Amino acid sequence: MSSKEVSLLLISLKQYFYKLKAYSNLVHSLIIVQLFALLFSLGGVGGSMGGNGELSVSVKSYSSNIVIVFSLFWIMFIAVQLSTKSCKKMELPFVTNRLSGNLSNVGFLLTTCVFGGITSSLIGVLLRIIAYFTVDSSQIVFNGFLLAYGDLLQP
Amino acid sequence: MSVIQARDITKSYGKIKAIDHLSFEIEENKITGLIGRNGAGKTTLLKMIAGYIKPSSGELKVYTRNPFNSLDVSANTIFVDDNMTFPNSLTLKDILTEMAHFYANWHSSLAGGLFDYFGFNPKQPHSNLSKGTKSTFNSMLGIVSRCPLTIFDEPTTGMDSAVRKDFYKALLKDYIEYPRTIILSSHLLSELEEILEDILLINHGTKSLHLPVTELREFAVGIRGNAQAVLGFVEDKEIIYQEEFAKGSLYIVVRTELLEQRLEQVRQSSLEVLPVSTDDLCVYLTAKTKGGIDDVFKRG
Repeated sequence: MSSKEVSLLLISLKQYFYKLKAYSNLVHSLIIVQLFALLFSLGGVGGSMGGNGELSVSVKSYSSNIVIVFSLFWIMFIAVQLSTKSCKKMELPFVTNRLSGNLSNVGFLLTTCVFGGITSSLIGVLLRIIAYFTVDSSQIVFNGFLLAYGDLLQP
Repeated sequence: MSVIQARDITKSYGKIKAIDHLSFEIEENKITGLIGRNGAGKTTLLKMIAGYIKPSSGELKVYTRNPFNSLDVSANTIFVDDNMTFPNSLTLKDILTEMAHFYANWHSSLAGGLFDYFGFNPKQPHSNLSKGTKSTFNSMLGIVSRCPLTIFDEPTTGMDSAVRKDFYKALLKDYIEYPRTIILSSHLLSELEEILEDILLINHGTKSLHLPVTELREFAVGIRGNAQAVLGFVEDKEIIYQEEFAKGSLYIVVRTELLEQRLEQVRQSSLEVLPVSTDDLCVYLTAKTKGGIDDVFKRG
């Protein structure tokens, strides 16, 4: 029985999948953060009023940009978490070195970015739906309301 | 082939030297006991071997490689102590499946068997386990991972005596089936003695002894009897331990090889020659004073 050589990439990949499972509960915090952001967005992000005495126009705009900002904060929070001592300690029982740990962290952060991005886009859709049913739908300016598939990535 | 080679390693934390110019070699497929008092540097040494921390100076090789930050050494080593941390989102069963992905020699059926035998709840998270069950679970991981170098740092902390016996038995059985290098650190030498082959005794970061257990049993003898007669025999010899248990009566421990031919004389005289248990011997060898705690009370 002799010692075995292992490949860095393979171990990093295994660690990445381990982390996906281990930190799966972080998704709860994302849901909470995004719902909060949604709550803030529900009131609309800006409005303008105008009129000439006979006609008055009031415009209220809705945007889910704040959801993206909140999601970014969530990702930042995870990045900080991953570099804490307690998270580093969780790697130790497994096969690891600093490099593989960092590589798998990079992978995990990229995944959270993609996941956060997609869910933020979907929150944009949710906001539209809520707006559609809460605001008198005849008054909605539909420009930018209906999404083409490609627009899903830019709410 | 020696698995671990340490040459003159030192580890200092600030001004305190946890390990002080320690050199030793550990052979392949042997069970070595690392024995020492509290704060002797056992954990520091084991962590260096496992590659968690780096020696301040000196050369440490595990499988001819520097263990610190080495992926190969990590793949061939498992370090078991009660500080092993697992995420709360994983249940005990999940931990087993995850570990199995990482360690090439993982013995799944044994893991399942031991898991059921010790009656773990598969749905429980690791952090909810009590101290003893946590140690049991961690030690189980150490056994079933079948790493070529398995390190247990005080594995039996908190285990009750039934579980402790089971653990030693399980370790020995699996070792026979699949020999590997095992290092066990403990205070409880009397329990461990049965399964150990070698003993590495460290004291204040330096090596006191590195001997096979069989030799350690013969390493020293105790002589009991009239104080003057006893001291007459050992005169200039180095006394490992000395205890006055009644007025004028003395018990001393000396190295066997220093007495040799005189041992017969001792036996013929009215003095008693007693074997010294390895456990006691290790305590005597690492004691600060020759008389043990009794000295403290005498002074008072």
